[in-house]
Amino acid sequence: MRGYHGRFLEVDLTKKTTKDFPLTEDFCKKYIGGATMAAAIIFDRVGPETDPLSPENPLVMATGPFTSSSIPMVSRYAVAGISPLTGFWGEATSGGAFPFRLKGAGWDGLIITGKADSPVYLYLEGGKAEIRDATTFWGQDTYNTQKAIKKDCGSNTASVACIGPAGEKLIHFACIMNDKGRAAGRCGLGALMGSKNLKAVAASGNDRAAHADAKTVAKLSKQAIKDINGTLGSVAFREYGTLMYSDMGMILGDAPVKYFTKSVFPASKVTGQALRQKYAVTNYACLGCPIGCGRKINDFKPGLDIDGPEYETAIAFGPLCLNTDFDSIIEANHLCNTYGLDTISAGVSIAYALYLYEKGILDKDKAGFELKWGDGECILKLVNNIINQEGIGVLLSKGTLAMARELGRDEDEAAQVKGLEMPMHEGRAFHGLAISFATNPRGACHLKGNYYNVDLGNMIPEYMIMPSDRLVSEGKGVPAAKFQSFKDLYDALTLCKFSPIEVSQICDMLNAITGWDFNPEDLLSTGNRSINLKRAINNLRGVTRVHDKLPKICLQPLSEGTTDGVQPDMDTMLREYYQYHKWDWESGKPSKDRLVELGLGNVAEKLYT
Amino acid sequence: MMNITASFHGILADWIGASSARFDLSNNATHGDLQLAIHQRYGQNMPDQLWDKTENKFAKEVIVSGKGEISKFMSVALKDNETVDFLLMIAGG
Repeated sequence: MRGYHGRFLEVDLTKKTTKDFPLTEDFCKKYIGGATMAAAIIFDRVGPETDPLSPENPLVMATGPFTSSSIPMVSRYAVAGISPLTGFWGEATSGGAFPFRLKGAGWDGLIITGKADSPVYLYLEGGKAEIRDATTFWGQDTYNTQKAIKKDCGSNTASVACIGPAGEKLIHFACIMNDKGRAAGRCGLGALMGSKNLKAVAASGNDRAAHADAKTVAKLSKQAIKDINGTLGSVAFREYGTLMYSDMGMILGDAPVKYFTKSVFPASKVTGQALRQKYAVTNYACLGCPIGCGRKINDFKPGLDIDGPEYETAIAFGPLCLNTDFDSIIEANHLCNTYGLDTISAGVSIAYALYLYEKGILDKDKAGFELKWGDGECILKLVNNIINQEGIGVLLSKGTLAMARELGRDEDEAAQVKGLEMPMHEGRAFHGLAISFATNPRGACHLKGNYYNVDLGNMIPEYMIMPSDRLVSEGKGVPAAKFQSFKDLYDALTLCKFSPIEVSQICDMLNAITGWDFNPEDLLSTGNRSINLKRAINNLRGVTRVHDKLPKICLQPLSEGTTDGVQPDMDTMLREYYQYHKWDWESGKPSKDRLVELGLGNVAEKLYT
Repeated sequence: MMNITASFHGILADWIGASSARFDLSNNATHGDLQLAIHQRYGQNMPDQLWDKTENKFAKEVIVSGKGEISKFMSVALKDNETVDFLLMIAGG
């Protein structure tokens, strides 16, 4: 088999044992890798009753056939498990050097089960795995942990993915950090790692899986780098990072303001240009990426160089909280990175607290201090409260859905889907995005359904995904479903969402690496298989059509900006989406026939017994 | 002669070096003529990828909006004192 090592490493932390989990070529061809392969592995190991924080919930880290190849923008990995935040399917991805090293250590991925009786870390190098004591690293922040474990390994080339104190405290939206400030942010998988007493995974090595046609892979990689560098998007990301979209997002009504109740805000204060004007900013890249969208802020405080905020983070701690104080946004980002918290869920939960305070539901007694919109100091205090599990921070750390339930509020006020907080894009600005948010297996996810890219002009003619009026709902359900499946495949391969390469290039690359014969239809079919498999995991855990919706707070028409009076027609789009996937309208389950058609007969059997 | 204002939004303003600029164009000038005039004045500052050398116009990622409507055709005639907005349609993050 080409493109893979042909094995995962299976680690049982309770028994302190490791063994190989062999991969067959048929299995790889069917599930490709990354989050999709993780779903196939997890499907067989969890049931409706599996507690997300129990030793039985496996934590899977997976690379794909592209990882560690010469193809640009592929040093990524997926982390998956049942989400401690939502109780449903959970996945997150991250870039950097860690994915390259994980595969370079000699495995395609890891399946981690059980629970260690004291803190441990996993060290992987040259096909050897060791479970090592991490007692001295427990309690340390993510940056210090990475440094200390690299030193402990005595390897300059080791790369570390770890949790911070947030993961140790099982905070529901704790994340996993790697290569300093890179985050597998969403779904609280840092808490799952913490529940296993697993502080970190350190990987070292350059073991590359053989390619079927190495010469063609090299040729395709060279062309891809040329194509990527030739796009305007690459120039924009390189110069301004993801923050380049802040002001455009605001013009389009795509950047949420004041806890999703407004759409107009002076965004020019939180843009990539503003960041460059105010601070000494340099950019950095994941391994093998010609763009380099990462931001490093040098001397943020004397002698302190820190990671700059991404678009999502800057909007979550900025306009969503009516905050223009860039210093506080950067510091909130740094705190979340350092202690290992998802910045999106943290920002949205904080904005919800500000909203509740304004409405009089929270007061000074309950909150411990006055909560004010636009108050950077207040936002930082709340981030610290979450991290330290103090005062109101305990409630906020459970996410918006739990907040609404505990406070006896209407759940439609909680800005989330399936328990995962809304990202910093608006379904009211792009209706295709609204249906993607509502249906994505992990909840409100902007990465699998970034439909704004389609309606801003990026068509995929192979799948008849064409730009159209962004504020029209009718006819969006089918292209949005296809686009979601196609983007889901990126996290199987693993390919960065910012890669502008074409469908035909992806096919050629996959075929040159593996020796297979994928065409664009096969790719889409694999994406559909992935979505349906994850859907089935969710169905088994109680997801029905009722869960495929946006909360009212993110749907009710706003009375300003370019989306004034706009409300997506969710019912129309959902019916179209269900028809495309052949999902049953009443139960919300994929039909038996559809599952069998996608080669998921085993899934159909479990779902319909 | 007509007086036309070009307004540049977001990072386009940064790349071009101005948030707006005025141009004197002939009476029958079109959107295409305006784009050529902009390139003539500011082309040196722009990233290469911003200008489509084959078509001699802004790259496809730049959306041109006149009178509140997106203009897709270079042949559309301009009107005296019109303001034309230029927006970069690249999203991510």
